[in-house]
Amino acid sequence: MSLLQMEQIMKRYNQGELEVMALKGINLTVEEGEFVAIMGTSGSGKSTMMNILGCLDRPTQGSYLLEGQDVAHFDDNALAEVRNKKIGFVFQSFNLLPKLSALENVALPMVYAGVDRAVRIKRAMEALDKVGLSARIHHKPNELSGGQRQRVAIARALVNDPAILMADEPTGNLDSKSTFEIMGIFQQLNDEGVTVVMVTHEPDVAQYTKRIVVFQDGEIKQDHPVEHRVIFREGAVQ
Amino acid sequence: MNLAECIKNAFQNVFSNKSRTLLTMLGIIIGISSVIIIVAIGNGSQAAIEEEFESFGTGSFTVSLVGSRDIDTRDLLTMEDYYLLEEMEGIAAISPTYTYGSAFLKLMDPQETNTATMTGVTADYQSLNNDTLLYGRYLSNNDVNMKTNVCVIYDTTAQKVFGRADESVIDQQIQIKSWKGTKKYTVIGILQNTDTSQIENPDEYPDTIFAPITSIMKNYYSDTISNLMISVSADADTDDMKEQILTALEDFHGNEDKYYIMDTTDMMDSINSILSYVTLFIGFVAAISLLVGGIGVMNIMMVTVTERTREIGIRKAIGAKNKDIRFQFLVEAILLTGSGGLLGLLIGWAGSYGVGALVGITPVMSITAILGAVGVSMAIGIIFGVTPANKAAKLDPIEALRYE
Repeated sequence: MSLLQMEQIMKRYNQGELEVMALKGINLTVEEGEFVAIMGTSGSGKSTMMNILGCLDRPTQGSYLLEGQDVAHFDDNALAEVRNKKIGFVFQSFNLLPKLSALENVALPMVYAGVDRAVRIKRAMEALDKVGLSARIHHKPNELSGGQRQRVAIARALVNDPAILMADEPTGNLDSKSTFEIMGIFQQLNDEGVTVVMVTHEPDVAQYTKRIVVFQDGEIKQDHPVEHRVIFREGAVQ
Repeated sequence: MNLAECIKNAFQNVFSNKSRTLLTMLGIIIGISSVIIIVAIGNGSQAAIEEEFESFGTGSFTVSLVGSRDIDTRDLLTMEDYYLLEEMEGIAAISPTYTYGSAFLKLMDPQETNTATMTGVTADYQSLNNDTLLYGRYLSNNDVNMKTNVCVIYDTTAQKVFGRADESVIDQQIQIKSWKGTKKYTVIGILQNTDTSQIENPDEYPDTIFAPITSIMKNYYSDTISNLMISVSADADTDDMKEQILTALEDFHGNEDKYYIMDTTDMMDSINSILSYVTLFIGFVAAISLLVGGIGVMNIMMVTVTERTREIGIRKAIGAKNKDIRFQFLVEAILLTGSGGLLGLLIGWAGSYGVGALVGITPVMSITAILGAVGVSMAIGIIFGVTPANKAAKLDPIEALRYE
């Protein structure tokens, strides 16, 4: 059984009189342990794809099996549960809650999962440790650098031990040094067995992954493994 | 999402913007505190009025001559009327009264006097006026028949005349001066004065002296009585008895519509009902201010939801269900109005004593009003918080995440 299997996924938007076909029957399978980059120009359908993959949105048509469950027609509540337990999100603009500390931000998904407070704190600390931020757990997001904020977001995405990590342009707001470090973290997590799907429009960033899927006009145009993969090494700065 | 987390969260959000929170709560604070003050003062004045009437003697009524111009000599009430009604069945107690108010009582210092109200009554008057005897005895029917110059006085009066109010005052004489001469009365009993304002400032009030009505009428040259105070026996119908009494008097005098009955219970009831209407009306105005306050809360909650659209999107993306978001904003609204209610309660409490001191009424705090105030303010939070909370819950996560 594949981790993620999409068949004939279509997404139609009604913009007034105009009907836009954002996805025109996508077939995509991702196995456990893969590291996939989804690329494409704006309007190619990659963001729509990301929303459906991340269970933030439902396809108009088609089936989407996530760990064997067809989530394409789940209701709001069931989708929230899937997002909480099976998916970890990392966004371009970090999307941390500004009033909460790093630790509280990381612990938040567990609040919605109904995890006890003591366990929440313990697991949040572990997750922050994993991304190398154990020294700044009580800092608010605005007291952290962009790279540090993204590490907090990654820790938050990992904390409920999801089946898949979804990253939407995770390095779009970062300088090259931070980009390098964040991609290193993704690679490290992937090496440890975490499946990662990342949307990006930067070919350089895509070179860190193992497989590139290119979208164009709502269809998959290319789907190939990465040939000359960039490997992050401690201390090596691009 | 558990409740503790939700409340902690709500505290952080509500109290992070203190001035806005305070302004939003202001409507609730004003509404609740005015309700508390109105209810406390309303209850206080009701209690004061009841106490006042209590001293008049409840369950009794007085029969008097109407105060109009075409009164004939034959219409005047006399002791004959008393003897007539005394025989009537269904009457528990009856006393004629005659009051002479332009007399002066000699006090301890021989140079000083105080206004005295000479009140002529019979033995039944003690029960009719709810008077408690402390020392000696009350006036007897024999005193009335013999027209003796004996009297009963209040302990406050005894204090003024003798400097003491105890057993030793019995059989002492008091002197009452008026332009009808100086009369001497022997004190045979001391009554307890229960009027709190008279006890506190005895010098500001005239002294009431009770003596046999026959003696007062003789000494102050009166052939008529002021009125008749009556209570009916428990098994008799009060309204029916009143009718019978009026008819008997009219038959006796051969007149019509010359007498009227004043009932303290009726008066108290009507004053109380007027008072409760006033309280209700002002309470209604206060309720409107609560409504306005509630709308203010709804308004600010709507703004809050819009401001925090992105936060809602983030929470949803990491797994918050619609009901989690709804609950979060509802708890915030309840916290907002609940703390407003609590503040209003404290201000109202203090305000009640402030206003009470100003108008001379001891406010009466009722548990109902306090629990009601807190309950109502929280209910306002729920009622006016539901719409914004639903708006937040229904936001589309993708749209919300895109919100700048």
